[in-house]
Amino acid sequence: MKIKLSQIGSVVYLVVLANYLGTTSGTIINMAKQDAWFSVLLAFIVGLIPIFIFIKIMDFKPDLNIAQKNVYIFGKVFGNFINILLMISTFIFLISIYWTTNNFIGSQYLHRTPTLLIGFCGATCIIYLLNNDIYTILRTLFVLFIIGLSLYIFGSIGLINQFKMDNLKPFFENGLSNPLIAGFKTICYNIFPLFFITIFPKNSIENSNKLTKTILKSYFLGGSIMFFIILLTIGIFGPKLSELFQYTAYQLLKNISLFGFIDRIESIISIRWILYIVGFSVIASYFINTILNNMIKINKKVNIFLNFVLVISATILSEMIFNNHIDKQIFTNNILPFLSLISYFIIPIIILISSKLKKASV
Amino acid sequence: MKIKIFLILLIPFILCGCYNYNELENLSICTAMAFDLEDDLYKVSYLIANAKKNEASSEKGEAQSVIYNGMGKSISEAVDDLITTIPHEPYVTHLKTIIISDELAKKGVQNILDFLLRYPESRNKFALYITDNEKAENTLKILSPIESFPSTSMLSNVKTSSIYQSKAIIVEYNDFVSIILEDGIEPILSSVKILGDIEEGGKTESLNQTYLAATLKTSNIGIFKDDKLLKISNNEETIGINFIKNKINELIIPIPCEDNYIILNTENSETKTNLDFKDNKFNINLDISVKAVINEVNCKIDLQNDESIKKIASDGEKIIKEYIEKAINLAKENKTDIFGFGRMIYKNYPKKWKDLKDNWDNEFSNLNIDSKITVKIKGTGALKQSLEEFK
Repeated sequence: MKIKLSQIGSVVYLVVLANYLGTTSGTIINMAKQDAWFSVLLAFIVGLIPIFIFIKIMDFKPDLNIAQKNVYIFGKVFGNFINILLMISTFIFLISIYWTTNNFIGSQYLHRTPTLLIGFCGATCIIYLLNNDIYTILRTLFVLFIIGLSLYIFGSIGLINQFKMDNLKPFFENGLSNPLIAGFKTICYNIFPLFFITIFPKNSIENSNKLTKTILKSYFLGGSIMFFIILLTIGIFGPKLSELFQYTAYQLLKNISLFGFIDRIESIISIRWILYIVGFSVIASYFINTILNNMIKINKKVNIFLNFVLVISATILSEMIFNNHIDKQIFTNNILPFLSLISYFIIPIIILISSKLKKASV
Repeated sequence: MKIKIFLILLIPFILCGCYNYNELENLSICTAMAFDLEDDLYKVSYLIANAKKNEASSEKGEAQSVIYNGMGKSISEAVDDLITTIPHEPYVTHLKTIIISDELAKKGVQNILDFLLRYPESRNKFALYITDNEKAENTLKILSPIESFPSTSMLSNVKTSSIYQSKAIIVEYNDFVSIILEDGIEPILSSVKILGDIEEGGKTESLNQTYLAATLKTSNIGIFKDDKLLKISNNEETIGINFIKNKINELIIPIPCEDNYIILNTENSETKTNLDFKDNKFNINLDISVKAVINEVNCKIDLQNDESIKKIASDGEKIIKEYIEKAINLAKENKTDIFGFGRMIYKNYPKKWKDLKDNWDNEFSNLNIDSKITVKIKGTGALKQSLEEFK
């Protein structure tokens, strides 16, 4: 049995959009103001570079996943050291995204429910999914992709007539530096984590010769959706009101009005954000789990326990590490971009260069 | 398998949606909120739709809605005080209108805006009004035979007025906040007042009469500076403001004719605002084109004569110009750019705006604003000629 291309495509889509709600949108609007659309567009174009790096890494030794490739290229000691670094950084990403999800649900839907309880509920779903085989996981993620895309289309139709071009002016009022930095951060939050797809050996994917095309199509789809969402946000709210809200993308959905009578559907449409985050969490957890399984042989029962510990500990740590949204913001603005840059760009470049050298020497 | 069964059994106990669920019958659905200032304390009033448990509709003689009040040094304290009087938990997701008394609006509405924006259940899609020399709470008392709740009645009233009178405008909460936050534009709000006896108007017995003891009337536009109400304009200034902001739908324009009037009814109005920068000065040019029909003729005039029609149109243009000049003078005297000309400068000339920004109030007072009005009379209604002329 092989992984379908559409399932890989759905993984790319979910990972690109997962961090948008609580992380990317707030950061880039605060930095770039009405030019945030440019930051996303720039990130989307420049983000093709890491995508091609990841594809090239997948092309090298297509029967191995990234953990196995690291050991093959660097040897057991240094290869596992890199694997441990990747695991730690992915775990930190998981902690960050869990805090965002739990805080979002707690502040917008269930403001009298303890966030840890919300986290445990979400964790249960993720643990259950993780304990299935990869084919089941990917089929589920494909369904999440379809639902998320449908909800996005439905929501956008209800918002498009409220867009005001005037809210995007004046263009580049404060120069290009802030939009450029915001663009870099968008790449760090949304595009670098696509490194997770290297956990799938290329040979395990059917019609793998079309893999590049599929990844690019899904990437363009995810990127264009992110672009339109930021455009609608600033075009409808204006830069000042967009900056004020904690979860602007959710507040935007409160403005949906379809055919004059379909409104108050923000709770349904916003489910797509939760689906994206679930997809990201599952893939990130699978990434950690697979690397660990490659480092040490783990039997099925221990693996189930490991998944449980992984997800629950990320949930609990997210509550312990980030006391409030200010702590999270400091982490998101100052630490997360560099963590992402080192783990999912610099390390892959080193892997790619080393793989070329290894190939030449063999 | 056992783990799966265990998880399936565990999940219902941790379903977070059930953690502090609420039944509809345990909620007091709030459709309107009113904010007043009383003895330097905030007075918050909720209009609750008191749906009964076992009955589909209210008993005869029983009010469909009820008002609860609370007072406090801050909005949250006042809401807290109010909650002690309501039997069920208030639910504000179905808010349609917020009314702020003019007295409170003059002190500033920032506290109210912050409270409602921050409150997670609030949807921010409700309309905002001020009162015209009236307590905001009183506007919630006035019952209407046509609408179920005073909040719906007020909203319908303002909607109808905005279409058929072009006096009132519907300002949504998010838009109001957005304007306050932006540079170069100040907000405006429609006002409402009460005609008649408030106490009698709040009784259901009044609905059994052919005439109403009290009604809600949409009044003129209130102009703000930041979040503080400066004053409520008069009729002509209100119309002028709506012309400049391109909010005119249908409007009656009375044109003096002998000792009487010819009444024009605008069908369509479009205002184009152009900004240019010449001789180191900004100039605003308003290009207003109005299409109107003759609604009423109360003097002797030959409507079949093209010259007469042109004269009526020309007189209409002069009257509209007066409205516009009054509106501009109102804004300039109060140094409040309610038209957003500063915002236009910011959007199109951001570098020049930086020099003007800090002194925009004075710069606005000296801003050159020209208007060119074109009135086209499309028809004379069902009659070709005036009755006086035809006799």
